[in-house]
Amino acid sequence: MKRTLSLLLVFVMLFSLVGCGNTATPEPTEKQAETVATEPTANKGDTLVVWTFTDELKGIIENYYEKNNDLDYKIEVVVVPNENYQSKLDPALGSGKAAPDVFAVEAAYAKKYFNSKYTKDLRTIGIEPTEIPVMQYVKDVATTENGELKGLSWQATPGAYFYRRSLAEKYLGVSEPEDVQPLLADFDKFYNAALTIKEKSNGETAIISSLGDFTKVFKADRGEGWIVDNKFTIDPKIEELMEIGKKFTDEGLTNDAEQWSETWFASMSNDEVFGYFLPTWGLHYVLKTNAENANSGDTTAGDWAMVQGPAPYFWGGTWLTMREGTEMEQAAYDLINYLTLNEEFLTTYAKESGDFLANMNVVENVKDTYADEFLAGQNQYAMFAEMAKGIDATTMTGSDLDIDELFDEQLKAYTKGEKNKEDALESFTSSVKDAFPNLDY
Amino acid sequence: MELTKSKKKRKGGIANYSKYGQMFAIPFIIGFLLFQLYPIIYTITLSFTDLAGWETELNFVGFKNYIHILHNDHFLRALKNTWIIWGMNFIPQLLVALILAKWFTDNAVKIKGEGMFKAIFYLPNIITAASLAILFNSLFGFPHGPINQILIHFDVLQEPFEFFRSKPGTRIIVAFIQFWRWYGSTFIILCAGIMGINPSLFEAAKIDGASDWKIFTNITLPLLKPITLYILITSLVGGMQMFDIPFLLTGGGPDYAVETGMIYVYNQAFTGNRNFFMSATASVVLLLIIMVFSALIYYVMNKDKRKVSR
Repeated sequence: MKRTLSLLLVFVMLFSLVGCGNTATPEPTEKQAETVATEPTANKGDTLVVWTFTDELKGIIENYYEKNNDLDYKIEVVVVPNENYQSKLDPALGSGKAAPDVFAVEAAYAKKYFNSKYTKDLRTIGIEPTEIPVMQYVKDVATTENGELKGLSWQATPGAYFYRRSLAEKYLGVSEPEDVQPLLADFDKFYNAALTIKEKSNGETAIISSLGDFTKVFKADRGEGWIVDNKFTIDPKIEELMEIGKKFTDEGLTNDAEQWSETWFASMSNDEVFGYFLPTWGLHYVLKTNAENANSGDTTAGDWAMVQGPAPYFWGGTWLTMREGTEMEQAAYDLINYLTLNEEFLTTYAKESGDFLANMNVVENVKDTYADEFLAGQNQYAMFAEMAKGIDATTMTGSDLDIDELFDEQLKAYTKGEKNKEDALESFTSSVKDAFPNLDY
Repeated sequence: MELTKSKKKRKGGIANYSKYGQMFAIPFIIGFLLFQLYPIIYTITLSFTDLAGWETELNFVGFKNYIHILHNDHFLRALKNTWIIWGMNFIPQLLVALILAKWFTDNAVKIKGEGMFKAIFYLPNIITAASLAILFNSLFGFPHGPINQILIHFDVLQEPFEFFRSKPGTRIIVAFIQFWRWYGSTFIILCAGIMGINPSLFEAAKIDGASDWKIFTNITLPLLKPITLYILITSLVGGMQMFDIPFLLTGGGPDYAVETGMIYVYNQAFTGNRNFFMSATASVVLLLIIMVFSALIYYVMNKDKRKVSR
């Protein structure tokens, strides 16, 4: 097993490299800000290949796009698990062989692809960033330094803080979102609320489950991302995050769980945890699916409410991008255009899935029709629409996925008292250096 | 004329047979060249370049990568981890397997249900690494994992212990899984080795009044040496390539305590900036280490054997 696995690994590694080595890559085409919008060129093949990392997009294409459009070509959707996605995609893009025409990228590494020469500037095929009603931060993420628009998304993923109404009533004395938000409006208040909850519940209830829960919020609040002009940078907010993380851990204000662990999920259906930081998709796919206790059958559904919490942030999100040099330009354009800008489709999709969208026209139209029973009738859509306005995505970089992971390891080591802050930061820098020798330090 | 003709005929016949031999060997040779030799050569080539990320052109930099990697704390730490975990797994594994093999081959003990026990010992080896990693991950979970609950219930611990935040804890768990997976197979090989020893030697020793311990140390162990050598080298090769269990259990954590050489290779190639050159260099260094230590073990053990036979 060990042998086969390692051999397999070596093969995968080598073949991915062989792929890179042998073929010429399309030369990057220089595009200046004054690019004139033109039409996409006609299709030269008969299959549109789409790569994605979840079956969400696959479902949308099969259930909406293919059903509602009469296409004279096939669409082949390839789902590659997120942990292998980049290692499969990179060689395919590099060689141009068996490469997707359209591919999905996730927030944590989207910038890497947008900043590469393998994605097409959508302005050159007639999508003008200033004319489309897509939320600014969604466009910002896909916009390069030269002003090219490299991708678009149908969804926006603002984050919120979801808390339990009954626990809020018990420990904070109020339960309605408009009364709770002022108590959690910044991290100092959040800390005070955490202390109150711990005290009044005799340590039975913690304000968050895992320290990992609010790292996203803190990182969104940074002035600078991990990489500024190819230089590795640690924003002062990061040290602040370490401090407050240590305080929360030392004083027992978390439930000591790891994000995505059994304990983390379990406390969504019991009274151990007061609330969770989750984005739009987290409400539907994480909270709702785990609100019922598997053993007792008790459910916390209907007892939740959402507020912004200490700071606006976003978490995740899928962008669609077109490969530079694709032979199916028209088809790729049609797909991206339909999924992100076709308001008729988006309205239907929003109503059927409850997914929060990036298209502001559609959001305006549908936002007042929601009242989620899970949140005791609160209109989550209208709130997300409000929250999305405060999102700032400028700190995002293409290497966030890996650097965040390296940081979280040291954050844990520091908050659990295994290291002091200097050592933790030093280990962090040194591990980033090892993983990214190409950056300046 | 006649003679040469028939000779020619015979020669032709023989030549034909060897042709078939070559034909049957072709699939292997092609497979070997394509899937083994070429990748090895390509890896070695890569280790002399600076290929990383999106780049596609090989840019030769000489021995720079090797000099760099020998001063790279992260790689050295990964090597150290590999040796520690391998040692912690291999020594108990060999001891337990030896004791078991001794019992199961001893005519005086005669254990009932021998076949069943052998199957049970071998069973962990059949379970896939992924399942084992998930199993142990939830067994030692924090704070509500079964092990923590049992330890608290019996008052061994006052409060839950976070095994996967403890460096020795995680190393012991990884070493234990490796031990538990492989002692069965080592045991079966040792059994075969002991059964291959001429029984008259044991009988003769018994008649001469040798104790069980004397027989074990003076007859069984020395004659098991070739088998032990085989186990040692295969285990070393496997141990230096240890990847699946630590990777799936904690991904190398806590704080890189179980980041093995292979995990380092993987991380260099598939995360971060995708430094294929570092990954290739690390692989070649691992290969060299395995070769040197295998040769060393072979040499040392064989030297002993020569002494004994003399």
